Amino acid sequence: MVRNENPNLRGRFIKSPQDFCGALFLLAVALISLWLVAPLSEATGFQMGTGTAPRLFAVFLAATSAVVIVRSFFFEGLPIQGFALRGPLTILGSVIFFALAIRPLGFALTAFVTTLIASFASSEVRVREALVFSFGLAVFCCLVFIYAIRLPFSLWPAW
Amino acid sequence: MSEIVNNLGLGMSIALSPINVMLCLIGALLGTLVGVLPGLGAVATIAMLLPITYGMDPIGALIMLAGLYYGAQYGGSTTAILVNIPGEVSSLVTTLDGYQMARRGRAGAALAIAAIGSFAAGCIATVLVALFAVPLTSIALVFGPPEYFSLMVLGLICAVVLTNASLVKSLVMIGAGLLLSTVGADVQTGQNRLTLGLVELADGIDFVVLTIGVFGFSEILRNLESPEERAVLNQRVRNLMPTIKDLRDSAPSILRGTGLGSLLGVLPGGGTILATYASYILEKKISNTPEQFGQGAIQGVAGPESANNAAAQTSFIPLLSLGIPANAVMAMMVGAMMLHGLTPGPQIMTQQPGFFWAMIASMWIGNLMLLVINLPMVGIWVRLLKVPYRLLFPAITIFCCIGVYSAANSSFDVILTALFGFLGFMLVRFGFEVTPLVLAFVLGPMMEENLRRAILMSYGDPLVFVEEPISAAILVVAAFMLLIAILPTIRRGRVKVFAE
Repeated sequence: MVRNENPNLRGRFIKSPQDFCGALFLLAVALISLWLVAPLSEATGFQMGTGTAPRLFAVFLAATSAVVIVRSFFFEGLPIQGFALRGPLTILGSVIFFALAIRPLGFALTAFVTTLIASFASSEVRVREALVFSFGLAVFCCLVFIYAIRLPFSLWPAW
Repeated sequence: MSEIVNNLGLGMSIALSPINVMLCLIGALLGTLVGVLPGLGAVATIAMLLPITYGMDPIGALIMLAGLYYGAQYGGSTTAILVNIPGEVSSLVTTLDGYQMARRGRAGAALAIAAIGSFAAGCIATVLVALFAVPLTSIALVFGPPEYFSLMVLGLICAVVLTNASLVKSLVMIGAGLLLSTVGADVQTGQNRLTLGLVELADGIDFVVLTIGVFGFSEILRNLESPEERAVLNQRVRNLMPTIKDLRDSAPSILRGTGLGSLLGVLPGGGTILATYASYILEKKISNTPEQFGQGAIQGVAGPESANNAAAQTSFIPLLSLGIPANAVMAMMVGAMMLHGLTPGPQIMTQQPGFFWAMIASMWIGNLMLLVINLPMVGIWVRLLKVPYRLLFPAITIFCCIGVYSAANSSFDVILTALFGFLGFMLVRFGFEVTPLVLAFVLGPMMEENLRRAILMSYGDPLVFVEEPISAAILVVAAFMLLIAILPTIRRGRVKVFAE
């Protein structure tokens, strides 16, 4: 609820860029959903159709998003701030690596490399420390998840 | 009354089985750990642990997860007092006076009062849960589909009104959550909805995937944005026994905090954060020496700490009696119960009395454990605080990955989680809170089901919700809450409360 009185925003057409963009995105989601569920059955008689609930919820989402969009022309809000891509890209990269590697590479190697990649998401990363820590963590994960909790993962590559 | 004693006895006999005591202990310890560590929240941790509880007995699993929740409330205060950073969001208020006490060499007293207050609040609130869940359940048992639907509407509205985020934007997030919950095959017809042709989505979006994404991953992404500042107080923590004067000064605050917290915990969206703020403001207002607040007033620690623990306990009331989650953690509990084949709601108490009462008994056991264990272990927690975030977040990342993957051995789920993580991160950056989204996601399928049944029962009359008297009354309350929140004068007051 921090509404800064930002002089730069005076006279701008869209008073609250954050609200505007966020709501525009969600409005798009709602409209696409409505289009996707269009072929699904409507309510017939006393029985709700397959498409009734999604349609209802999508209309609700569209309506509320529209209100936010309209409001963003009148009420001052926060501007959109840029952000460093390093954190999100590295973390997401490491997670996607995990998803793709867990089957072919086995648990131990995947855990090690995933942790190592993730470490680089922070600009404070220290390479040697990250290597040692990832190794230790991988060992810890193997002990806890494979030996203690007995998750049914293969530990090493299949070949 | 004797019935309650009998029931509690039954609960105790189950909760005190060695395995359940151990799970309760593990939950409480893990909870303290995540509570102590800033940047790792109870919700994300429960999400990570959910898949691991698959193989457990449902009672044991829920006891452990509940222990984690109230354990985190204990742990959060340790960090708040010693480092001036809230370990959990709900311990933000404790930083105000707790850290000042620590700077004046009274860290031991602050920690002890926080723990004692939490324990007293936990005990009282547990009794309240036992007392109020039963009558509420018997009311809820006569509820039909229209009443349930309206109740869920009320729950969502409360959750929107009581948080500090923008009202309309929270409603938007509720819409998004409801819509997300409809993804997958329709229960009735088996037809796919919004699956984009992906077979993996036919079963719907897994609860674990959504929550680890928007709480686990996006929390990491957000934390990475702000550089870490952590100055652990270097003094040794001594004198863990508070003086008689400390106890006398804080006892009334503890009781007031417990009362306030118990009340606010029950309300959907109320939860621990609101309880701590309200308690701090109350203590400051009725104090004879309000100028001491912010300078190390013990009442400013005792009140909020008791309030947050009381709220953590009583937020189980709507969950156990009505099956409606009051906050994000309770939404996780619903998810956990569903994973174990239990449908939360009034029928739990009649059909599974053992489960119901064991949960309540375990809360008391857990609170006792926390009191006994935590004070002597303060030294260990302080040392843990020295683990830098640059080591913590890779560990959280891999635990989240393992958690999601182990749920269904699905790589698709892991990638979907990453996408939700990014989406949640972006939404928060644009000022949209994700908690209403998760609440709505949990309630969505139940709302659809009850809507469907209500319409069917009323022979297709959509007015059934206002024609049934109880349902209509609930909707009137919901409309009233919404109206209050929209009225400008009160909205200004709301902002003020959260700004303080």
